[in-house]
Amino acid sequence: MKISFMSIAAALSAAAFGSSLASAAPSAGQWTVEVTTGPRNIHFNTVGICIAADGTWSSTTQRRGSGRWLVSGGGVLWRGNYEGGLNDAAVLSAPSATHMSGPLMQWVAGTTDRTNTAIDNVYGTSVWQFQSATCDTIL
Amino acid sequence: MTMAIPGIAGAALLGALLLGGCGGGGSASAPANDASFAEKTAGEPAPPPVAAATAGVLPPPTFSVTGRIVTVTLPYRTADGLVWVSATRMSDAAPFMFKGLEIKPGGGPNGTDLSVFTYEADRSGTATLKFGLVPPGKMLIGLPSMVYTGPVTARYEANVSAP
Repeated sequence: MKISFMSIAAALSAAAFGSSLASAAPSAGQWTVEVTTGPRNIHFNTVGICIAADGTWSSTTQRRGSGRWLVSGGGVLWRGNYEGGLNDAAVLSAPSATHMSGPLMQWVAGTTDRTNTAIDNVYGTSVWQFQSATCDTIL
Repeated sequence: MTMAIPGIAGAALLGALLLGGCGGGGSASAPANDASFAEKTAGEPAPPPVAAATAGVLPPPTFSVTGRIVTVTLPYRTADGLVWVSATRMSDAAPFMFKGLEIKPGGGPNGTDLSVFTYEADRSGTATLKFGLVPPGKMLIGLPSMVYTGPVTARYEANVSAP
Protein backbone atom coordinates (compact mmCIF):
# COMPACT_ATOMS: atom_id res chain seq x y z
CA MET A 1 0.00 0.00 0.00
CA LYS A 2 1.43 3.33 -1.00
CA ILE A 3 0.90 6.13 1.49
CA SER A 4 1.22 9.67 0.27
CA PHE A 5 2.59 12.49 2.37
CA MET A 6 -0.58 14.47 1.82
CA SER A 7 -2.78 11.76 3.25
CA ILE A 8 -0.47 11.37 6.23
CA ALA A 9 -0.36 15.11 6.73
CA ALA A 10 -4.12 15.35 6.53
CA ALA A 11 -4.56 12.65 9.13
CA LEU A 12 -1.96 14.10 11.42
CA SER A 13 -3.34 17.59 10.96
CA ALA A 14 -6.79 16.47 11.97
CA ALA A 15 -5.33 14.97 15.11
CA ALA A 16 -3.15 17.94 15.91
CA PHE A 17 -5.41 20.89 15.40
CA GLY A 18 -8.60 20.21 17.17
CA SER A 19 -8.26 23.73 18.43
CA SER A 20 -6.94 26.79 16.70
CA LEU A 21 -3.32 27.40 17.54
CA ALA A 22 -1.03 30.17 16.45
CA SER A 23 2.33 28.83 15.37
CA ALA A 24 5.66 30.54 15.08
CA ALA A 25 8.24 29.58 12.50
CA PRO A 26 10.80 27.35 14.16
CA SER A 27 14.16 28.89 14.93
CA ALA A 28 16.89 27.89 12.53
CA GLY A 29 19.48 25.66 14.14
CA GLN A 30 19.84 22.49 16.11
CA TRP A 31 16.79 20.78 17.62
CA THR A 32 16.27 17.58 19.55
CA VAL A 33 13.14 15.57 18.93
CA GLU A 34 11.83 13.11 21.49
CA VAL A 35 9.32 10.57 20.20
CA THR A 36 7.03 8.51 22.39
CA THR A 37 4.72 5.82 21.16
CA GLY A 38 3.20 2.45 21.78
CA PRO A 39 0.50 1.10 24.01
CA ARG A 40 2.09 2.64 27.07
CA ASN A 41 3.23 5.82 25.36
CA ILE A 42 6.78 4.72 25.94
CA HIS A 43 9.84 6.61 24.85
CA PHE A 44 10.85 5.54 21.37
CA ASN A 45 13.88 7.61 20.45
CA THR A 46 15.52 11.01 20.57
CA VAL A 47 17.03 12.38 17.39
CA GLY A 48 18.86 15.49 16.27
CA ILE A 49 17.44 17.69 13.52
CA CYS A 50 19.02 20.74 11.92
CA ILE A 51 16.36 23.16 10.74
CA ALA A 52 17.37 25.70 8.12
CA ALA A 53 15.62 29.00 7.54
CA ASP A 54 15.07 28.14 3.89
CA GLY A 55 12.45 25.53 4.73
CA THR A 56 14.72 22.51 4.67
CA TRP A 57 16.05 20.25 7.40
CA SER A 58 18.67 17.56 7.79
CA SER A 59 19.30 14.86 10.34
CA THR A 60 22.33 15.15 12.58
CA THR A 61 21.97 11.70 14.11
CA GLN A 62 20.98 9.50 11.19
CA ARG A 63 22.73 9.36 7.88
CA ARG A 64 21.17 10.97 4.85
CA GLY A 65 18.02 12.22 6.42
CA SER A 66 16.55 15.40 5.00
CA GLY A 67 13.35 17.09 3.96
CA ARG A 68 11.30 20.21 4.11
CA TRP A 69 9.14 22.13 6.55
CA LEU A 70 6.67 24.96 6.28
CA VAL A 71 4.33 26.99 8.41
CA SER A 72 0.78 26.26 7.36
CA GLY A 73 -2.36 27.43 9.03
CA GLY A 74 -2.03 26.90 12.71
CA GLY A 75 0.96 24.63 12.63
CA VAL A 76 4.26 23.56 11.20
CA LEU A 77 4.25 20.77 8.63
CA TRP A 78 7.42 18.71 8.57
CA ARG A 79 8.30 15.80 6.34
CA GLY A 80 11.25 14.04 4.78
CA ASN A 81 13.08 10.83 4.14
CA TYR A 82 16.03 8.85 5.41
CA GLU A 83 18.34 6.47 3.69
CA GLY A 84 16.78 3.07 3.39
CA GLY A 85 13.31 4.28 2.48
CA LEU A 86 12.27 5.55 5.89
CA ASN A 87 9.72 8.34 5.65
CA ASP A 88 8.85 10.91 8.30
CA ALA A 89 6.00 13.36 8.68
CA ALA A 90 4.77 15.49 11.52
CA VAL A 91 2.20 18.19 12.11
CA LEU A 92 3.35 20.38 14.93
CA SER A 93 1.98 23.14 17.06
CA ALA A 94 4.61 25.77 17.77
CA PRO A 95 3.68 28.02 20.67
CA SER A 96 7.14 29.54 20.44
CA ALA A 97 10.05 29.55 18.04
CA THR A 98 12.00 27.22 20.31
CA HIS A 99 9.45 24.56 21.19
CA MET A 100 7.10 22.44 19.10
CA SER A 101 5.08 19.31 19.65
CA GLY A 102 2.62 17.13 17.84
CA PRO A 103 1.99 13.78 16.21
CA LEU A 104 4.77 12.27 14.15
CA MET A 105 4.82 9.21 11.93
CA GLN A 106 7.71 7.19 10.58
CA TRP A 107 7.07 4.48 8.06
CA VAL A 108 8.55 2.38 5.33
CA ALA A 109 6.44 1.73 2.27
CA GLY A 110 4.95 -1.71 2.35
CA THR A 111 5.77 -2.39 5.98
CA THR A 112 3.98 -5.29 7.57
CA ASP A 113 4.79 -4.25 11.11
CA ARG A 114 1.74 -3.90 13.33
CA THR A 115 3.40 -3.26 16.66
CA ASN A 116 3.61 0.52 16.37
CA THR A 117 6.91 0.21 18.19
CA ALA A 118 9.27 -0.34 15.25
CA ILE A 119 10.83 2.47 13.32
CA ASP A 120 9.31 1.30 10.05
CA ASN A 121 5.81 1.87 11.38
CA VAL A 122 5.60 4.30 14.25
CA TYR A 123 2.79 6.69 14.96
CA GLY A 124 3.87 8.68 17.95
CA THR A 125 3.97 11.97 19.73
CA SER A 126 6.95 14.25 19.29
CA VAL A 127 8.37 17.02 21.43
CA TRP A 128 10.79 19.36 19.70
CA GLN A 129 13.22 21.48 21.67
CA PHE A 130 15.52 24.10 20.15
CA GLN A 131 19.12 23.68 21.26
CA SER A 132 21.41 26.05 19.42
CA ALA A 133 21.57 28.38 16.45
CA THR A 134 24.55 26.33 15.33
CA CYS A 135 23.82 22.86 14.07
CA ASP A 136 25.78 19.82 15.07
CA THR A 137 28.21 18.43 12.54
CA ILE A 138 26.40 16.04 10.24
CA LEU A 139 28.21 12.71 10.20
CA MET B 1 20.55 17.45 36.72
CA THR B 2 20.15 14.73 39.25
CA MET B 3 19.13 11.33 38.16
CA ALA B 4 16.64 9.10 39.85
CA ILE B 5 17.22 5.47 39.12
CA PRO B 6 14.53 3.58 40.92
CA GLY B 7 15.16 -0.10 40.99
CA ILE B 8 18.62 0.07 39.56
CA ALA B 9 21.89 -0.04 41.39
CA GLY B 10 24.12 1.81 38.98
CA ALA B 11 27.41 0.16 39.67
CA ALA B 12 25.90 -3.27 39.85
CA LEU B 13 24.22 -2.73 36.52
CA LEU B 14 27.36 -1.43 34.91
CA GLY B 15 29.16 -4.45 36.22
CA ALA B 16 26.53 -6.68 34.72
CA LEU B 17 26.87 -4.92 31.40
CA LEU B 18 30.61 -5.13 31.47
CA LEU B 19 30.17 -8.85 31.57
CA GLY B 20 27.34 -8.75 29.08
CA GLY B 21 27.03 -11.60 26.67
CA CYS B 22 27.35 -11.30 22.95
CA GLY B 23 26.63 -13.20 19.84
CA GLY B 24 29.03 -14.45 17.27
CA GLY B 25 31.10 -12.28 15.03
CA GLY B 26 32.60 -9.88 17.51
CA SER B 27 33.02 -8.99 21.10
CA ALA B 28 31.40 -6.71 23.59
CA SER B 29 32.83 -4.58 26.28
CA ALA B 30 32.06 -1.45 28.22
CA PRO B 31 35.24 0.02 29.66
CA ALA B 32 34.33 2.53 32.28
CA ASN B 33 37.27 4.73 31.32
CA ASP B 34 37.07 4.36 27.58
CA ALA B 35 38.85 7.43 26.21
CA SER B 36 36.62 8.09 23.24
CA PHE B 37 33.46 7.77 25.28
CA ALA B 38 34.80 9.98 27.99
CA GLU B 39 35.56 12.62 25.42
CA LYS B 40 32.00 12.71 24.24
CA THR B 41 30.64 13.00 27.73
CA ALA B 42 33.11 15.52 29.02
CA GLY B 43 32.05 17.05 32.25
CA GLU B 44 30.22 13.98 33.37
CA PRO B 45 30.46 13.90 37.14
CA ALA B 46 31.46 10.85 39.05
CA PRO B 47 28.58 8.50 39.77
CA PRO B 48 26.93 9.05 43.11
CA PRO B 49 27.37 6.49 45.85
CA VAL B 50 25.41 3.41 45.04
CA ALA B 51 22.92 2.03 47.48
CA ALA B 52 22.73 -1.62 48.25
CA ALA B 53 21.99 -3.72 45.24
CA THR B 54 18.34 -4.24 44.54
CA ALA B 55 16.41 -6.72 42.48
CA GLY B 56 16.45 -4.18 39.66
CA VAL B 57 19.65 -5.32 38.01
CA LEU B 58 19.03 -5.63 34.31
CA PRO B 59 19.85 -8.65 32.18
CA PRO B 60 22.99 -8.12 30.12
CA PRO B 61 22.70 -6.70 26.61
CA THR B 62 23.60 -8.92 23.69
CA PHE B 63 24.32 -8.54 20.03
CA SER B 64 24.37 -10.81 17.01
CA VAL B 65 25.89 -10.52 13.57
CA THR B 66 24.29 -12.06 10.51
CA GLY B 67 26.27 -11.29 7.42
CA ARG B 68 26.51 -7.51 7.41
CA ILE B 69 23.56 -6.94 9.71
CA VAL B 70 24.12 -6.33 13.41
CA THR B 71 21.33 -6.54 15.94
CA VAL B 72 21.98 -5.10 19.39
CA THR B 73 19.46 -6.05 22.06
CA LEU B 74 19.42 -3.85 25.15
CA PRO B 75 17.16 -4.68 28.11
CA TYR B 76 15.72 -1.90 30.24
CA ARG B 77 12.68 -1.07 32.31
CA THR B 78 10.38 1.70 31.19
CA ALA B 79 9.41 2.22 34.81
CA ASP B 80 12.98 3.24 35.60
CA GLY B 81 12.61 6.33 33.45
CA LEU B 82 15.74 5.57 31.47
CA VAL B 83 16.19 4.58 27.84
CA TRP B 84 18.99 3.30 25.66
CA VAL B 85 20.48 5.71 23.17
CA SER B 86 23.34 5.40 20.73
CA ALA B 87 26.63 6.91 21.81
CA THR B 88 28.30 6.47 18.44
CA ARG B 89 28.49 9.20 15.87
CA MET B 90 27.62 8.16 12.35
CA SER B 91 31.17 8.61 11.13
CA ASP B 92 32.45 6.43 13.95
CA ALA B 93 29.95 3.68 13.17
CA ALA B 94 31.13 3.24 9.57
CA PRO B 95 30.92 0.92 7.73
CA PHE B 96 27.79 0.24 9.76
CA MET B 97 24.76 2.45 9.32
CA PHE B 98 21.81 2.75 11.61
CA LYS B 99 19.02 0.76 10.03
CA GLY B 100 16.25 0.43 12.55
CA LEU B 101 15.00 0.57 16.08
CA GLU B 102 12.30 -1.48 17.70
CA ILE B 103 10.95 -1.20 21.21
CA LYS B 104 9.57 -4.43 22.63
CA PRO B 105 7.56 -3.76 25.80
CA GLY B 106 7.88 -6.76 28.06
CA GLY B 107 9.96 -8.54 25.46
CA GLY B 108 12.98 -9.17 27.65
CA PRO B 109 13.71 -11.63 30.42
CA ASN B 110 12.15 -11.14 33.83
CA GLY B 111 9.59 -8.72 32.51
CA THR B 112 12.09 -6.26 31.13
CA ASP B 113 11.53 -4.21 28.02
CA LEU B 114 13.86 -4.39 25.05
CA SER B 115 15.38 -1.76 22.84
CA VAL B 116 16.62 -3.42 19.65
CA PHE B 117 18.96 -1.46 17.39
CA THR B 118 19.78 -2.72 13.90
CA TYR B 119 22.78 -1.67 11.84
CA GLU B 120 23.84 -2.74 8.38
CA ALA B 121 27.30 -2.43 6.85
CA ASP B 122 27.67 -1.22 3.30
CA ARG B 123 31.12 -2.74 3.01
CA SER B 124 33.50 -4.86 5.02
CA GLY B 125 35.07 -3.44 8.12
CA THR B 126 34.85 -3.15 11.86
CA ALA B 127 33.35 -0.69 14.28
CA THR B 128 32.52 -0.24 17.92
CA LEU B 129 28.87 0.55 18.51
CA LYS B 130 28.31 2.29 21.83
CA PHE B 131 25.15 2.80 23.81
CA GLY B 132 24.14 4.40 27.07
CA LEU B 133 21.12 4.35 29.37
CA VAL B 134 19.92 7.94 29.91
CA PRO B 135 16.74 9.88 30.71
CA PRO B 136 14.29 10.27 27.80
CA GLY B 137 14.96 13.27 25.63
CA LYS B 138 18.67 13.20 26.29
CA MET B 139 21.49 12.11 24.01
CA LEU B 140 25.08 11.05 24.39
CA ILE B 141 26.32 12.60 21.17
CA GLY B 142 25.92 15.99 19.62
CA LEU B 143 26.28 19.56 20.73
CA PRO B 144 26.99 20.13 24.41
CA SER B 145 23.46 21.38 24.98
CA MET B 146 22.10 18.07 23.69
CA VAL B 147 24.33 15.77 25.67
CA TYR B 148 23.32 14.30 28.99
CA THR B 149 25.94 15.26 31.51
CA GLY B 150 24.69 13.34 34.50
CA PRO B 151 25.95 9.94 35.51
CA VAL B 152 25.29 7.37 32.84
CA THR B 153 23.75 4.42 34.62
CA ALA B 154 24.87 1.82 32.12
CA ARG B 155 26.92 1.62 28.99
CA TYR B 156 27.38 -1.08 26.42
CA GLU B 157 29.82 -1.49 23.60
CA ALA B 158 29.73 -4.02 20.81
CA ASN B 159 32.79 -4.53 18.67
CA VAL B 160 31.40 -5.75 15.39
CA SER B 161 32.81 -6.84 12.05
CA ALA B 162 31.30 -7.14 8.61
CA PRO B 163 32.76 -9.62 6.11
